[in-house]
Amino acid sequence: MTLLQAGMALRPPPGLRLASVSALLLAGLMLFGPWLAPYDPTEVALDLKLMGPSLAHPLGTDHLGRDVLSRLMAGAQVSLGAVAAILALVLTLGVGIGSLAGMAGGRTDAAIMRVCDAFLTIPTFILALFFVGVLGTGPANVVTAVVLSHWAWYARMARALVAGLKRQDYVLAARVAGTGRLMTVVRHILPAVLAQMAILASLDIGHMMLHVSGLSFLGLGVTPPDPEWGVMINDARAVLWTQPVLVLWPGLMIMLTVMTFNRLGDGLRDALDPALQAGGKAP
Amino acid sequence: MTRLLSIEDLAVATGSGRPLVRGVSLTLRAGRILALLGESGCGKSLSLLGALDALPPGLRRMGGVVALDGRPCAGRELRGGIVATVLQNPREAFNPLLTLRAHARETLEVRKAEADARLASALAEVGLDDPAVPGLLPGEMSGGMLQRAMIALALIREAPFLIADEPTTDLDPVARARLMDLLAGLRARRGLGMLLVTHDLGVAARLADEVAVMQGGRIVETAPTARLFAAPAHRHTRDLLAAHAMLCADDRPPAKTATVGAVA
Amino acid sequence: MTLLALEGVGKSYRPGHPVLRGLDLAVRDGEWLGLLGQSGCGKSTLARIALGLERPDTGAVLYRGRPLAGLRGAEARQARRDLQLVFQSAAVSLNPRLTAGASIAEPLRNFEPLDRRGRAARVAELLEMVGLRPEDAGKLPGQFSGGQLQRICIARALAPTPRLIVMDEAVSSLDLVGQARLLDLLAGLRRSLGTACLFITHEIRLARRFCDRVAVMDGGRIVEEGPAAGIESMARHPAARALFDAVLPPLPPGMAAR
Repeated sequence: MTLLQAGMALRPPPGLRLASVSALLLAGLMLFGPWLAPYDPTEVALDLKLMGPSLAHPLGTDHLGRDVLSRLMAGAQVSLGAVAAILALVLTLGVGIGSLAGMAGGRTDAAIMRVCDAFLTIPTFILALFFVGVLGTGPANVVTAVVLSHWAWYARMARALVAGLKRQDYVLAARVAGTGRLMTVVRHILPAVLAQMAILASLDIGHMMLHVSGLSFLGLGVTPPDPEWGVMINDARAVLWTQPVLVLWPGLMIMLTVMTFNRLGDGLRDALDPALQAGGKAP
Repeated sequence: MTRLLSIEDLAVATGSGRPLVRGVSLTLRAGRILALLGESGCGKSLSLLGALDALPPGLRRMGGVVALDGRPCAGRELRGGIVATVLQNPREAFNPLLTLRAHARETLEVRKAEADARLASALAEVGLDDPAVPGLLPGEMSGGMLQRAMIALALIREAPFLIADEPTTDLDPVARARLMDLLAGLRARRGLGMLLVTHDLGVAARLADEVAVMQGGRIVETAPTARLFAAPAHRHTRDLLAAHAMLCADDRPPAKTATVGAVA
Repeated sequence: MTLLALEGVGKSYRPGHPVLRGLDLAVRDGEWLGLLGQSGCGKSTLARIALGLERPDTGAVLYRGRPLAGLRGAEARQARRDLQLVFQSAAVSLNPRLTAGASIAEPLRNFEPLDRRGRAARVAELLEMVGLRPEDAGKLPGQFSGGQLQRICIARALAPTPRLIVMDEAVSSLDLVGQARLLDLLAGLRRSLGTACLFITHEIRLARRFCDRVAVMDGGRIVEEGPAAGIESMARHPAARALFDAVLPPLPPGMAAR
């Protein structure tokens, strides 16, 4: 309900509108990319390798003669889908566990936080590498690994927010008004926590993309010949000096995604801040 | 030497030009206390901030002259050295990470030993003579203590005028009474000229020589305290006095307390 | 009949620093009891304990003669409904993300078997009761002034038709005229609804005007108690005397005699 209100109250500035459009396009690519692609992204045609842009291949072909545009479009499914899955899981896990710790307090809180600390002491990328090592390669395992290496950050943040919010007078007022514990969390605590976490997450999307792409780049995520933006950058490395444009396309897509979501994160922060939302104060 | 601080025809408006305060004129004299009285939101604080060129962003001073002994001067020349200010919420006026001693050293650009000595004597004057006080952080003091500490910091600059914005609002009656005794003492001993912004007619009755009543950004009446209470001229003043009388019901003639009886 | 009684209530947050020590206090049905005391004397802690939001270390809170902490099920719900609180700061006791209407509707959701339309009608009625407009239901807290926010809080406290409202310095942030206006409103509601009130304040002038009885708190106990009229002349305890002697004069010196 608050989100809806925020949406209606919002007359987005041009930058934000652009970011929203771009986010919609990216979401479309993620869902339908493989079917929209003009060519089979894995079809090798060595006689067509490293061609420049043409009408048939608007972005040219790569070192195995595969259509770059098709690979970009098809790759969106894995690159963006993985990030979307990671985000959903990290938010659920982080907010769930963090809120539990924050609400419970005492020993439960301490125990959960020590587990978080254990995860936080190791750099996320190393931790993700470790999990991929244990779980084996493949997109699903990359997602699991990135989630396992990131959830603790979100849990800690959620826990801090919940611990602060539950002492607010308005939460106590809900208790006086007869609202049960669970409903108090749902109505009064989670919306504020989610607003903050969504901002954090939108700023973190770029980081997560780089994780997924990074692991693919190392050959641990998506394995050739399947298309993925990180894999594409890795493939293009060999011809970096002769065909730099092949690194540019997937790089641009990653950059576009990161910028889109950073801008959305800023917009979300403004939209969800009740102080800014209210506009002018009554006299 | 009689010091005279006068504010003439001051106006404050929003950035878009909507007037908030208009035609405000006030005169402070050494050794006299002027109370500026009005309900919250009537423009009392904005008038002060406007006179001192300390308006929050988005608001503009639209005119008016501030003069010291007849010589016009800019608000920022007055702040600190000529006019000391005491705010309603002292907790926000202090840096929470600095002790009182550090605040004094920052305020006075003199040797540390001298700053410390002057702070000690000012603290003694406001009734905080415990030697531990200068070493305290704002978080370690109560609201009443902070209010006194802020007055002490104002005193060490030896400013001839003191402007106090709702200094008693957040205090309990005992702390409030002590603070008012302190202000009365400062006027007697140091001959300070004071502007006391308040919404409480009781505060004005206790301390003020003269009262200016404000409503909707304008001053509607200015009169010596006794005359204002005895013969209020403006309708708004009469309304305020009636509300005040209702609260002080026990000490007023029965005619005024008729409405009170229904409650019990 | 006694509505709410605190018997020998003690509470400390740090060992060796009791906030309340063996405090006794009783509010009768329909009565307005003023609770006076200096800042930091434990008034807010008392309010929370009286409502069952915190457990006392020693002693008990009795609601209609039964221990509040021992109530279960429907009885506990009834007590929760009957005892309402208006907080000191209205600005932080309203969820900034909920509209005024949603905040006022919250106790109705929990205690009244109303559908959406019925709730909206009741919210409109409550808003008018506290001197706001029904259209204000759709506004967020950030769009109201301090006095209006406190009215919303009072409407929320009145929504479940409680037997006792605890006002924890609930009007102190307003100017004196605003405080009197809000209390006049409450006094009017009291006449029609018969709601009792524990009115916690440090403003004696208000307690005297609006309360039947006054109790003075000092050092975690009640040190003086009596009818509101004349309490000042009867008070003997030094803490009570200090409080009453500090009352501001109604008139400038020299005029008081007239």
